[in-house]
Amino acid sequence: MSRLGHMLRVLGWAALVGFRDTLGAVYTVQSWVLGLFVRMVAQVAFFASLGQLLGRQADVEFLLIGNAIMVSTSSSFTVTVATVGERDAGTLPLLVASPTSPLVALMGRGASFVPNGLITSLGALAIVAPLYDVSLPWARLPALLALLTLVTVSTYMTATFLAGFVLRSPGTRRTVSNVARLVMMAFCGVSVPLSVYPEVVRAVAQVLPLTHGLKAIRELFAGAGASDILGDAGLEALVGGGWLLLSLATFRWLADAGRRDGSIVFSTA
Amino acid sequence: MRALIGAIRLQLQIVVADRGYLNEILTNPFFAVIFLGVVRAAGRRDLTTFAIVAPVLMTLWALSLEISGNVVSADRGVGILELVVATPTRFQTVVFGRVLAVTLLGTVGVVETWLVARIGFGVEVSVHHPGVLAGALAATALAMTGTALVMAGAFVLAGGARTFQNTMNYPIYLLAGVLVPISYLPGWLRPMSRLIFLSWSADLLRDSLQPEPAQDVLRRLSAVLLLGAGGFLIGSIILRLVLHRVRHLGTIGQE
Repeated sequence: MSRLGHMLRVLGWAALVGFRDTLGAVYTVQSWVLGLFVRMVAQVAFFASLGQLLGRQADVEFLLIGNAIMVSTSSSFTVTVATVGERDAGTLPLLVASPTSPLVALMGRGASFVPNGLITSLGALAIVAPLYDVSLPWARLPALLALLTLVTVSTYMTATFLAGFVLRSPGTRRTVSNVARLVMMAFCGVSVPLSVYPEVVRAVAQVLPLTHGLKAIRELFAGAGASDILGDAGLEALVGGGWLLLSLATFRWLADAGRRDGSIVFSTA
Repeated sequence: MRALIGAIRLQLQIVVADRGYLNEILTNPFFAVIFLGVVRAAGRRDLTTFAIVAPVLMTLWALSLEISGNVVSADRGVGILELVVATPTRFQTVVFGRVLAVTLLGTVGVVETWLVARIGFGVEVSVHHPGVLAGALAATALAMTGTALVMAGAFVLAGGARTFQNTMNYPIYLLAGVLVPISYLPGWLRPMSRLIFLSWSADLLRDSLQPEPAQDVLRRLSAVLLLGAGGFLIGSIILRLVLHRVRHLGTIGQE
């Protein structure tokens, strides 16, 4: 079997284990609905109501769409926290010692958070949009789903990059994932148009996940042509690919450094 | 009183060591940036007070949720709950002091929001009614402490309730009009909103920053305090019941 074949096999098994964990140990149907979905629906409604306060339907639509998409990408950051879960369960040293990159196993283990984000986000859109008179592009639903998957996966790449740093300092896992999520909420055009920010902030936003993908989704809602949408979707894919390369380049190095000084198992920082 | 001060000091030491609490404080500037940015992008500078008040209350509430979920279960986890309960000091006093410490710490959100508004957006925040602002913040901190006590009791009484700890932020922000006044909610929801002290706090804090005279201040401050006192009473009763039960069953140290 080729190297790629081995990696895909590990990825597949890891994803299967991750799905089983998510469906049984992490969430039950009741805790998913009451513990996660209700909160996400309320979050989208909260920002949509801010649009009502501003007094223009265009603002309602901007805030509602941006925050409904943000819900999906938020789910990706669970992988940053979950990496430390492996450490707590005692499986991380085994993964690091195995011949396959631990990144592949960890990416597979957290893959269940991608469909989780997609379902939550689409559910929130379906419930909140009619309440605030925002029309959903039902005819273009497959394209919406594809773009939503793209932004969620590209954010997932960034989240796995951050997971490498969290390995070195497990105590920062919540802070790292929260700050990353908030940076995206604030600076990727989710609620605030990028034009409000100084040039330097706008430049940084170009290399963050979500910025271009969300623009493509807004274009989809506005009925733009395929070439405009594909252009921005392509940029989002490039950004996601860039973060994946960064993850691959740094993860093994960070894991090896953790092995050398023992922090991969014993660090409490 | 010494026990109360001791509890406050203990909790402040825990806060320094546990990044969980600092996380909630870290979120404040981001929300301030988002709300102030939205208001600026829409050209609605008249809504700046709404954008300033909301992050302050959101920080306070998030911290309150964090402490109410942890205050008993963390002691259980490290095996000191039995010792705390065995001391002559009332358990409720210890919990109240620890929750109060975190709530007071949450008022740092006022400074954070002010700094973001001033440095990030060049907004000069004018406090037109400093008495109303001080009174509203003090009453809110007390009511927050009382309410956290109810949640702490509920989380201990029904272990599964902690699953929903994270759910209690945005629905409450929406229902209590933390950012958008409750007049924007459907009519049938508004009476429910008025049972949440945050709805009175949000209105009072916004009014303290507006040039127009604030109306009915005493009545509204009383509403905040009464709802907080109700929470404290219910929380104390729940904690007493819980303690009685776990002592009786011998499960005090068990989750």
